[in-house]
Amino acid sequence: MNIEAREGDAHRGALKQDFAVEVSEHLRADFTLLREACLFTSGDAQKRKFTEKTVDKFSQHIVCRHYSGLCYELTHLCWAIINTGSNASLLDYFYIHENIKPERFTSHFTQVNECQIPQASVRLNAQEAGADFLDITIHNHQFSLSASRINLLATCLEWLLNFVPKLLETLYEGLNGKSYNAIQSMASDLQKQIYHYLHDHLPPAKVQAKFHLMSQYLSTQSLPQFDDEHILLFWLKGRERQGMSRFSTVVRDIFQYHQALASAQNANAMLHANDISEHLESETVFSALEAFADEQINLHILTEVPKLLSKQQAEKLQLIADHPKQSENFPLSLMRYVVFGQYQAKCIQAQRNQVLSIDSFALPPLNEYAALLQTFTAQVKLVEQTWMAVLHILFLEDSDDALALLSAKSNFLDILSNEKVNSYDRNKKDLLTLINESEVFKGFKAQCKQAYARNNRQGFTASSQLSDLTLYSDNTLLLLGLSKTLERILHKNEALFTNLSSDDAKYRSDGCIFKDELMQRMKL
Amino acid sequence: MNQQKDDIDEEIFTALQAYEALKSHYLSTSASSNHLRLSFTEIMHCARAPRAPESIVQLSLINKSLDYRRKYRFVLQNLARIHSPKQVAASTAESLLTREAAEFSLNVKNMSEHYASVTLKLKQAYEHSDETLYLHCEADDAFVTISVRRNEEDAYVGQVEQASKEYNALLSPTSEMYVVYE
Repeated sequence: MNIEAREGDAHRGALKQDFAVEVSEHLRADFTLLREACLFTSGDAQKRKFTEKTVDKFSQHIVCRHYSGLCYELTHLCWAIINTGSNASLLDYFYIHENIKPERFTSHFTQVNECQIPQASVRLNAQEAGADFLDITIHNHQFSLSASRINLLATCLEWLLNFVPKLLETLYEGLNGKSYNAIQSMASDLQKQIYHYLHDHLPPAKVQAKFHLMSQYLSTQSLPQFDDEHILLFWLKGRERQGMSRFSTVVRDIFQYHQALASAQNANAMLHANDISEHLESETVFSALEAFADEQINLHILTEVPKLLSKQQAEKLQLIADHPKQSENFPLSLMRYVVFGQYQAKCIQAQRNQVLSIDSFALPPLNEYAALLQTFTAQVKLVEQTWMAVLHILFLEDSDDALALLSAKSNFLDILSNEKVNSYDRNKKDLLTLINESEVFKGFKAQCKQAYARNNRQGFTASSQLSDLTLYSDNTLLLLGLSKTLERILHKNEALFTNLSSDDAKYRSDGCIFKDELMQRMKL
Repeated sequence: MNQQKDDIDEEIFTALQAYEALKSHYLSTSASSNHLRLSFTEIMHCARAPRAPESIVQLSLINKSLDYRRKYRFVLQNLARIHSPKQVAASTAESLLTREAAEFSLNVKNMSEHYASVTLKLKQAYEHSDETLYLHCEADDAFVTISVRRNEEDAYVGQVEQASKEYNALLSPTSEMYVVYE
């Protein structure tokens, strides 16, 4: 089953790209079934029921999500067959007599009964060979169906039968003796069924289009993957493209693209440990799109009660929480995202408020990269303070969760080992008792109390403290995870960040690029 | 008492349906990767030409999937010239060597230690040129097909093994039968 070789021209080029094959294995198998379907013959060489060209065209319609017209046409055809035939007319027409070629279509409709519905008619409008039309009239509604479309519509019905239960019965009941409204309603139902089916077998259309674009960009630049400079260049080149106006959106899309590729490559390597192909399996790329949520840190929870992060803090950390690995690998894009994403948002707001002027594009005079890095470093310390404040609450309530939270910062249990912790059987209560009696920890507990006293956010005051202590410990573990990611980013990119903090040249040059670009985009 | 039994039967039936649905989803999912899926056209061909080599494989796939069995039943209901529903409720089922349906009579006779003959007599003459008829039986959530050929007395005869699903389906009063010919 080699779908690349079989897809239509428009889709063929795209499919040859590594990433572009996002059709699920199941949907590919559907198309293969259509290609392999044969006419019913007894003993003779089997003839294909649907032509290669028809299945190419049909798969293009489906992969490009261009199926509403097909549903509308198919419903009209079914209406005409049902209302001029018997109660098994659809099965007879498509599967027993197999009237799925233009000449058979013409032959069928020249012999059919009069339409049974008043003020409705089904008439064959004979033209040149193979160009006949079926004129359907229902009161004021008129529809012409070309005989040349019959093979495509039969393909569509055959495909729908794979996943729409009792389709032929539903079509018969829904259209028999009914008027135009029933056709509209049935076509709409079919569209919904296809939409739901494709939800499991095709990535969302917008994501699909964006990923195609990124894949094309990398091909034209002969790059294996994006780097910080090419993320910026990609945004600059996409000035006129829809969905690429905000730099922050472009960064997120590229991070998502990289994440999908990385997940797919991992899955592929695991599947074919002995045969790692350079060409990605479409199925694994496809499923990778669904797997993003697993790696993400839910910041929203941390801004609720108990409030472990302020919304302002969360805003600066959002990209890291959503794409921890990519934030680590593209440090400059992370800086640009926060600093110039915000700058662009302010310019856009000024434009919306119709107060856009040269002044709106004024860059902050201080080195914003340095300021952001200071915020990140401070954030790591703040997290430790929050952790201690939570520990104070847990110590007061004598909660077992305190241990889990202490273990999250490993060095604390190491200190305990000096106090013969190993002689204990590491029973939680024993450890807690040890901590409470420990001289070393008396000082630490005093610091926790101070951290609590300094924290006046919701959930950390006598009046707002929650009774469910697991919320404190669970959310703090999340916060510690975020802090570790932040520390890793700072550590891994130490050289770059030191340079960005000590010298504002990069900030200035980036500022000029963004300012110039935004002024052009906003036509100022 | 009967009401209670009916309720339990209904629950068991629903549970079985749910199980079958899960199983069929699993089968159709795993089948997709093994290229063992069936199109509606193939199901149709299988009902129309059950003796074709590919139909034998396809019927075994149909019997493994609730979705395919539903489609196959729908096709048979529309394709069959003659249909004989279940003869009795499952609880009172006893093997029957003869079946009298509205449009045919069926007789199964043990010929030897291993084989039995099948004789199908149509009660009225039907216009068809086929020398062979196909008798599709649905019993115990599975379909089997027996082909019978016309003899000189205008009856249709065939042979089945006694230790076969076909034999059991022919004798079971709970099996539904469909006679298909072109």
